[in-house]
Amino acid sequence: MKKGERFVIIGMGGVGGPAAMLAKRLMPEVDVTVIREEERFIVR
Amino acid sequence: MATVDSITNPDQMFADAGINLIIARATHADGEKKKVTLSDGREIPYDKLLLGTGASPVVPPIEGCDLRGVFSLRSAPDAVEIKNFLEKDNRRKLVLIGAGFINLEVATLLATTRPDYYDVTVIELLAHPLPLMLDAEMAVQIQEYLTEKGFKMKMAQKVERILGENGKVVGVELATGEKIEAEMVLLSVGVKQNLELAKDLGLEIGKFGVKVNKFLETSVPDVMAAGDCVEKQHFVTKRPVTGQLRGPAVIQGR
Repeated sequence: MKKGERFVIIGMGGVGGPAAMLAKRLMPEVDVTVIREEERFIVR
Repeated sequence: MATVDSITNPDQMFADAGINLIIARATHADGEKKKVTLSDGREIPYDKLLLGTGASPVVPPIEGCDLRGVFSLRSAPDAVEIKNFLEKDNRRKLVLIGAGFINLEVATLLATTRPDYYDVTVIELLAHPLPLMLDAEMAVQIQEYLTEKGFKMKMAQKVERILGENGKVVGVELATGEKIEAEMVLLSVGVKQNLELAKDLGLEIGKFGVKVNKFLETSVPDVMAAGDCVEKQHFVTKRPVTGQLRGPAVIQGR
């Protein structure tokens, strides 16, 4: 992805959180957004 | 049981990493206009989209599933609700319908938390516990172990109905006619993938969820999917299977 492009993730139960963190680390110039319904992000 | 706060990461972690976090329900996705519509009416444009919409517990068409004291467990709030229900009035007679990971973990946790207190019956339609993960040879050993620990393991038994009085669960009736007293029933008989957005986007969907390739790309350009909402391939048989555990979902996310 190129600088300024928008990466949108829907859901944060298992996939979303790690995907967002790694995406931002690998592509810091990409705009990463996570949309989740739950009040909290579950870790374990 | 661990508190909810102790098993969650603070949202600040994502903010510190420069990630935008929106807490809302995504109600619609448009693959042509490349935007997601939220429950509050906002529209979020994307260049690439990752669906991690997960799955929800299946509530079987059994009479009595709507009685007070009948639960399914998927999220932290569900666990808190169950814990509070058990602690109120010191309920101890429990029937767990389904002998998969969730119910067996719950049974183990209860036995560890208050040894010799709970009267736990586990009912499974198939012939042995963990039927989707283990063959009979291994599962029988688990069944024997759990029986030794005091669980009543009723395998190859069909639940006919959940019994109630005044809107509250009081027991479970099996197809054999046997009745088991219960102050709480936990239903864990599988999940169904959350596919509403995938259908909006016109993604190809298989028997067990969104079809993806080995790069987690779907049939629609710039849309990926991962986790419980996608169809997996069995490591040995290569046949399509459902996702069952959170661990692999997290690894897919990475």
